[in-house]
Amino acid sequence: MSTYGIKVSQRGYPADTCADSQLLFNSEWPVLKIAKQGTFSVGGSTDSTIYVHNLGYPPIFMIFASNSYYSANNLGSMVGGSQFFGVNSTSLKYFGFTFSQPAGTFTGYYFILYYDLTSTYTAPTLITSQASQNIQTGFGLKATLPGYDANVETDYRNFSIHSDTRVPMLHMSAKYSGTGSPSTQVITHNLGYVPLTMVFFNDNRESITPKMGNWWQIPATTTDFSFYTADTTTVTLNLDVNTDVAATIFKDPFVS
Amino acid sequence: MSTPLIVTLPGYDATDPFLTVEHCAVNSDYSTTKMSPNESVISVNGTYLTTNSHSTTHFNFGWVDVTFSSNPAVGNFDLITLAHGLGYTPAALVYCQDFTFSPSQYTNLDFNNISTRPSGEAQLYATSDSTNLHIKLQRNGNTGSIVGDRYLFKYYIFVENGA
Repeated sequence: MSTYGIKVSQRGYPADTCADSQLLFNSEWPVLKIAKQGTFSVGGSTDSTIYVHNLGYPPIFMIFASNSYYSANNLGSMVGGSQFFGVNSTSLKYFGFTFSQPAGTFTGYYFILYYDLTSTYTAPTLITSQASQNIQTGFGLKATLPGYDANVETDYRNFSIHSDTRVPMLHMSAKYSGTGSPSTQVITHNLGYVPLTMVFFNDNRESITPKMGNWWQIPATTTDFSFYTADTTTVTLNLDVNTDVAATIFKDPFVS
Repeated sequence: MSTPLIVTLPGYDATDPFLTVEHCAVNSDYSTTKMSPNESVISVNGTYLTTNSHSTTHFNFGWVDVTFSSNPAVGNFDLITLAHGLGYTPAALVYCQDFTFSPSQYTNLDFNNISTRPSGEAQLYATSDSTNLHIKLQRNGNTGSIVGDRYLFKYYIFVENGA
């Protein structure tokens, strides 16, 4: 139990009684802070580095890629079962050689976040019962990024945090190593709702050297490697042979 | 020079010169991934879908529960369109709960990320632009009836750029 701390509720909720999920943040646990974001354009069969972060750990990352072959622009780390975008302790990279078909050019946007995706962490669960939104406007917290004036700024992108928005708050993270055979790992979160979850894998089976030591964010649907499902109390990781898996579970900012 | 807002996690000293951003709950020198409070205008393709329910907040994060009422033809269709009102292409995440197929029906709240696949007979995927987040169906072949298939889509639209 901390002696000191601060918590800020979402607009309209009483900070002293609202549920964890109704908070903007609580100093008992971290929110995702952006280390780097930007555009990229990569493609073809040649591997390339998108960004050198040099954080010293594999960070949580998000990819939103566009490629005419797939007719979509929020393609993630893995596309069509291929591992295109991965991260390691120094860089965010594109792996062109993984694709057996003409990949063309990927353009898009990336986020690198200040959190070691292999960390083991569990935040306390303080309040689970939902409070009513019974406070009128006129209360809140906003802090701009350096160079912007919080009194006049209206673009939420220029705020570090703003109580009109909602920020994913970290609840748990864990990493599990492959056992040499397919296995299942159940993480109990007990949040009472299906949480926003991100799962990453490190495919140690891969004999191609450039892929070793890199992490990919996997979709929940079945892939060639591992997949996961979530419900109101657990996240279940289905691990393939020798595949390390890391999961990050958030205190979902809304209840489904 | 303004003074940043720094709130540390338990056990760390905000005045420590060696404090790292990883030890902060919040640090206003750094941005965060923020979900937009804009109101989303939800449009469901009534040709193929019946809306069972949707979130009542209508913010840029919420959910839509639909059931296929007729079989889409081969092609690419908008199933659900969410007008986000941001004026630029945002980062967005979409999860899907499949009520119809394994591992169980209706009682299991398993959300599956939508993945786009280049082959196969039908795929659900999401894409966004400066006006809308689109949840789409790509039907590549005659896959048999999907009438009665029920999906719950959960969406998160961030204020941060996605393109």
